[in-house]
Amino acid sequence: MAAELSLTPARRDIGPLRRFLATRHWTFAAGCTIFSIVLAILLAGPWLWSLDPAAQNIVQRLKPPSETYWLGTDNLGRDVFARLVEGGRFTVTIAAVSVVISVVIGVAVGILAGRIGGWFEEISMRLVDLLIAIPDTVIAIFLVAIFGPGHVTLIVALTIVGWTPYARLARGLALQVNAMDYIRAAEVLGMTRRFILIRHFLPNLIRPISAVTFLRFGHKLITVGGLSYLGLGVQPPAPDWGLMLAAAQPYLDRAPMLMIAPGLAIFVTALSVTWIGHGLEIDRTRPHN
Amino acid sequence: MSHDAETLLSVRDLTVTPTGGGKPIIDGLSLQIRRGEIVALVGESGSGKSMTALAITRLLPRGLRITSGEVVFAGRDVTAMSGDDLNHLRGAGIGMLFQQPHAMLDPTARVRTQVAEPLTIGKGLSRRAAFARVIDLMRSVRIPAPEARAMAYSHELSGGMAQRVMMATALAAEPDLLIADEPTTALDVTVQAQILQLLKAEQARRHFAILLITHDLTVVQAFADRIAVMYAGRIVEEGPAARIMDAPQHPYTRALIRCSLLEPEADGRLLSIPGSGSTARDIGCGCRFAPRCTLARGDSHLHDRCHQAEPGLAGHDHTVRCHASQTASAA
Amino acid sequence: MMKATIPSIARRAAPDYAETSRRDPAFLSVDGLCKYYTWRSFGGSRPIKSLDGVTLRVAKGEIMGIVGESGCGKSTLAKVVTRLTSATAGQITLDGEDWLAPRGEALRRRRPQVQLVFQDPHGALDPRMTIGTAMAAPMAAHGIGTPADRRDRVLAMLAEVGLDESFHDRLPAQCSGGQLQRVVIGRALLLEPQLLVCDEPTSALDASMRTQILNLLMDLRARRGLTMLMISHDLRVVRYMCDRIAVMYAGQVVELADRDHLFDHPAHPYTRALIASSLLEPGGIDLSRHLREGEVPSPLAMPEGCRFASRCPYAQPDCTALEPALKQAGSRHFVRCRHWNTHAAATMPPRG
Repeated sequence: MAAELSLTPARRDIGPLRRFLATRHWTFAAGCTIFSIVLAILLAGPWLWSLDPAAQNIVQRLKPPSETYWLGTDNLGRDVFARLVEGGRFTVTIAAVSVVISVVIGVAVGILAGRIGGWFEEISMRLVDLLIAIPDTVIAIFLVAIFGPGHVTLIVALTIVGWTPYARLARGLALQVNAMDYIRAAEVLGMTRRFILIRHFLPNLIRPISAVTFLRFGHKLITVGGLSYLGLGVQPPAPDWGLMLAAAQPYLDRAPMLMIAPGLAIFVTALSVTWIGHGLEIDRTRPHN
Repeated sequence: MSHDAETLLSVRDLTVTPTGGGKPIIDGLSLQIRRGEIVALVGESGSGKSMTALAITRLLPRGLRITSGEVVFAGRDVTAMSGDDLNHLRGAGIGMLFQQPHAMLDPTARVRTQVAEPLTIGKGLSRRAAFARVIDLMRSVRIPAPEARAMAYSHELSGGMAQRVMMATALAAEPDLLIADEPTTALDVTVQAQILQLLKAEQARRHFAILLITHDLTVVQAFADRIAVMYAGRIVEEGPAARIMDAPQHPYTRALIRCSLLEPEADGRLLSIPGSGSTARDIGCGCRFAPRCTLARGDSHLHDRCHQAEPGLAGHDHTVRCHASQTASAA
Repeated sequence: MMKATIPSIARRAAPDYAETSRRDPAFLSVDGLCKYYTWRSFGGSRPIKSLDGVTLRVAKGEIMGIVGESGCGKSTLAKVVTRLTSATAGQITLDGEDWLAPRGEALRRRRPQVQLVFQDPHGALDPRMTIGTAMAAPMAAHGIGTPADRRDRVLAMLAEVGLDESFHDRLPAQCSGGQLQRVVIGRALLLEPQLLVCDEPTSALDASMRTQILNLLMDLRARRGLTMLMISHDLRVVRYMCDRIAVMYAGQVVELADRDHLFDHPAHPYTRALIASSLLEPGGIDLSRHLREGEVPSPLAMPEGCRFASRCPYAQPDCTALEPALKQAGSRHFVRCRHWNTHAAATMPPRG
């Protein structure tokens, strides 16, 4: 058939994954590398590092960094590095769990709102407007007052408001996809609702949603730290980056590392995931839209 | 073709190439437009016709650049111009009309402000004088109730009205050349005809030249003085409109005319050009049209020649880039 | 926000003409079809009359052309007939059954009966889905065949629409517009529809692609006896393709006739203006004879009288007062103009 003539033997040599990676902004690679290192330390830390994060040693309190204590010790003589690794596991897990739940709820609500419209869209979007106006700190204080502090309270507090940006974004994207002719085609062809949702809507949402997920994840890390700092999250003696920051305050002049270490940990982790999100969002081979 | 005083625009061996390298999308294009002449540049999508217009006004998108050739407008080389000269060229020398008039109008400004812009900024008229002139211009492009429409915003205008406003804006600058890139494609048929009639009437009255860029040969036939047909980045046939339409020499032109008329052949079917695409990207060393050409396929002697060597543009006043027709005219 | 409303004239008198032909029992019949959208603003809401009492009969195997300019309601007609949007009033019967009745799953099951070919084939295919998947999935949704069976049918259909097997695994971005339009047509035909609605199937294509697609549609019609609704703004396309043609203006059918009759003896002034501006040499004729430089009436504020009166060179005082009905002008010719008899013969020179 002569119809083939126009075809360049397309870029089939390079797979979709490789093409995707090849067109990323440098922040994607940088973010991934840093975040993998952080994750590796957090996961492997307890095995690599023999010191017990809870072991107190009053004699060795507020020591500067040394060969035994890489980042020194705190006011109770506990090893800062061990506590950083242990605390990071709490902080990152709490942020991750709340983000994942938020994404699932938000995307589901957003797609339904964009696709079905009507009263469902009206109610859910007004709820989003309402919740977006309330800071999560306020909700956390409120929940802590009722249920007492703890991991679950923290996750719930973060999720109650956390799903709203995803719902807004997913609805916007769903509206965009819904305006495409291929959705009209799918309807006329009598495709099932499930097929339209899973094969047409979801694939179009994955990229922008995951970009925002990583961007928000960094933000969540900081919020978790902040809430713990205020005493609304993880409770002592369990370590947490925010809590460590709070506890370091009285000793700022004598042992600055107590403050710098958790602060830097939050900063580096948050920055790395934000970079991943940024890198996912931007295709460097295309001009900015 | 010679440079004479009458020549307004002379494009010689213009080649436009992607910056990253690769095959040129416009390849050695030459085109002359005399003062007051209407030239139509006809081609299908991907043929490079719109890029030619952008290259002439130095408005090529990022990623494309002029690698060789010259564009001489009113005696000055456009390819060497920069800054103020280019602004002056685009503001006063060459006017432009585009396919989507709404996209070219500022949604936040009133119609009269936009039409007056070339008068206030370009010619230094006072706003008051300019606005009075705007009403005249709008009347000349037959916008009904121009006083009311001058105060409107672009979104309040229909497509046809918006294109008339664009025309008034272009005419306000009194250009020597108007480049119209598919000016009627987005409009309804009845409006299309009205806009073309209007364009021709204004051209006759003010005596500017027009470069009409279109994919539709039927639009061209009663409109243009000369027609240039583009295929895959090259001009394949160029000549007086009547001769091209009545006796096309290139098989592509011939097929394109039949295709645009949508009149059935003897067997009741429409003539179609087999295959698809006319982009310069996928071109071999022979004639660019050879893979889709019925002449090249039918004759084994021609077949080899057409696929191995690209024909040159030959002829006087009516030029053709085709081995078959050159052989025929030599015999 | 647009939303369908019940119009005040929904129950107006029976459709003002009925097809006289007894030879062709109507396969598709559209009766008094209305589609009103609601324009909401601070001042309240007003209906936008996109379709206003459209009545058509299409025989089995017939190609009915719908022509008109943007905003005349022809695309809305395609949307209502393909059940992409609801009708405000009126009826559609397909092969004796009420086509507007089924809803939800019942509608989904019956969807294969009426298929649609889109204007822009690039938009009608999900860029992330291969051609093969896009063509096979609808069959799966209707429980047709096994996966292997569906693959065979897709390959056979690709051949029928003139594409080779290599297209099966391609993505839309690797195909040209003409090739994709073949895919869209093939995808629709795999469901063996009784009615194929083509909404400007060639206006996004180059001239050389356009004739390929039109030839393909004619071949498929000859082979499969397809009934088609051909919606286009291009008179050249409908003149080549259609058996009968309905001309629409401002939501109504203003003229309906057999193809040759319509082109040889156009009765409505708007039809004549359309023919003059698209078939004859543009610029070579004086269009002002056929068209005044008036504006198309806004669908928000339809005039009381004839909707074409604002652009009609023959408009009489009574035209703006009362709306004309679609009246018989010949055995198979209907026209919505009060004065067609007085000006028709005088203005249109015989063609040819």
